[in-house]
Amino acid sequence: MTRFLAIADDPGLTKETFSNALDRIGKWRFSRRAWVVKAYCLTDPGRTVIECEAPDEEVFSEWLEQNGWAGADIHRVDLVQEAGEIWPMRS
Amino acid sequence: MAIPLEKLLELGPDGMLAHDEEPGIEDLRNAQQIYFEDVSVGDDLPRYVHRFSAPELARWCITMENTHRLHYDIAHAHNHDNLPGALFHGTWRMSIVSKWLKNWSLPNGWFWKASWQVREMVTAGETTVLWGKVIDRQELDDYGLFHIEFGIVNEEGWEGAPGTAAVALPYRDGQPVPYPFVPPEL
Repeated sequence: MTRFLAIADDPGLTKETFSNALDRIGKWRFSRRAWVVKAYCLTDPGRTVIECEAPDEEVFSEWLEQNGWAGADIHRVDLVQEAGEIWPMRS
Repeated sequence: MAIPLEKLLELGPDGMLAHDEEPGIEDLRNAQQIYFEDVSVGDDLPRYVHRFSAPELARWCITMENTHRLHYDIAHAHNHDNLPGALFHGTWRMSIVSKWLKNWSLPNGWFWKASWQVREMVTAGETTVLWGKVIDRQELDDYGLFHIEFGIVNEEGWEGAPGTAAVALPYRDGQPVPYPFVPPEL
């Protein structure tokens, strides 16, 4: 399992479209071994940032395309700072 | 009559909650006995539909003195254990199943045994359905025995606890199931 971060231009993004994309378990846990950890909705300038745990980048990329976020920049994450701790990510 | 499980899942998380059939405390105090003669193979048991929150998972941690962080510490669950969120406890599933079958057999029946597996991960905030179906019934000398197939599915229909159970119910004109319950030799 690897942590990925995607940054996608999302012109026309609204709180409603963002919510509709992620409002059920089956939408954010999109496979048995891949899920959205956190997602950010930036209505201005129209950008979505999604943190994901997945076995490989291809799985995440495919899901992004299916949800209208094709062409997103995908990065592998090495460390996360959360709740006062630095967490090393598996690669 | 309860709607089929497949139809229930089509209602979506909020719509599903309206079909919770868990009895309230007063219903249990005044429980009307279900007798052996009332139940047939293929019958559904009452479905318990719930959405357990992170505080409820934390409360179960306190109850069980189980402080494993994957059950309440979301940052740890995400970043250390690589999990989708804080997870349901196996013991909680066990307690829910036990309560459900005990409730069904009250006041003079007996929930004998259950066997089940932990499968899909369930995270806080998911809507879950505890379901069960009678798959066999046996007439014994002092009471009737039901064999039940059950599970706990989430709002997507993912099965998290497939299992089987056995429950003894009295005959309509018979005595309460003997207590203490002595398991029959089948």
